[in-house]
Amino acid sequence: MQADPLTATFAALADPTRRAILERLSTGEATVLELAEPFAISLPAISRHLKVLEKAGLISRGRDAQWRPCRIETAALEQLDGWVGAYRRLWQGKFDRMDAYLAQIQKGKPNGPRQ
Amino acid sequence: MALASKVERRVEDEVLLLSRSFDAPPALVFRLWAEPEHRVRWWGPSGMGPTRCEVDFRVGGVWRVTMARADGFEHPVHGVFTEIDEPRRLCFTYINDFDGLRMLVEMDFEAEGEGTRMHFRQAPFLSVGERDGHGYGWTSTLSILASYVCKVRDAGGVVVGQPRQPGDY
Repeated sequence: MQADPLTATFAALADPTRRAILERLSTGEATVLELAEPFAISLPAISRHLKVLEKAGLISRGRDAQWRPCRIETAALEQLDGWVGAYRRLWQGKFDRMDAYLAQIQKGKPNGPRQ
Repeated sequence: MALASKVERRVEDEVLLLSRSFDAPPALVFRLWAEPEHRVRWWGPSGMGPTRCEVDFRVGGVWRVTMARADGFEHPVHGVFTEIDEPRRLCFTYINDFDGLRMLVEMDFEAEGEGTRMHFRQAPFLSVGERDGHGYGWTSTLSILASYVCKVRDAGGVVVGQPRQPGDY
């Protein structure tokens, strides 16, 4: 069963433990042991979480190094950002209207028609 | 961003523990896991039946079961036997084919009067929801096994009845 990339990304991020792992990796590479350290869960559980993140392309793991350090991969996040970006105009539009309204207030016309 | 250390998850959240009694000795109950001819007659859960069942019953051997509903939905799982101490202890990996993520199932069979007490442990689950979903499935499957155990016992230990079909309850 192969989910589309965005679905895999959202599914992988729909878990607080996996988001915390990603957050830790945003500060640099880490081994499974280092990633497991802040959590009260087992190493096998961390490994399962890492596989979900790896399948979603959010992290990669060293192939040669004995400890297979994990690192964050930004391509999937960039795709996510692109998806969010399509909606950005919705709130940016609000800011534009607020700018116009503030300009009116400064001209002393607080009750003027909104742009 | 929330600090990683603030994610609260407990080890017990990732472990499924079940306990079940069967009205036959461990030696008989254990064999029903070992032989695919038996397995296809009790593997559920309710509403599902196996369309594929292979059991290479040795340490390192692979088992595969595909659970199917009447509407055609199929849920294939597989694993490898990691420990076989007949009739006391049976361990195997448990992998959902759709995500390839590995869990471990450990079962201990104890004589309890004329019957068997089986302790079941599966871990690690990624969420309480995943764990409880499997808990529901196993509880249902073990109920079907419990009634099949009685039929086999009454028949003197031989294979009884027909394989379960998709949609069987």
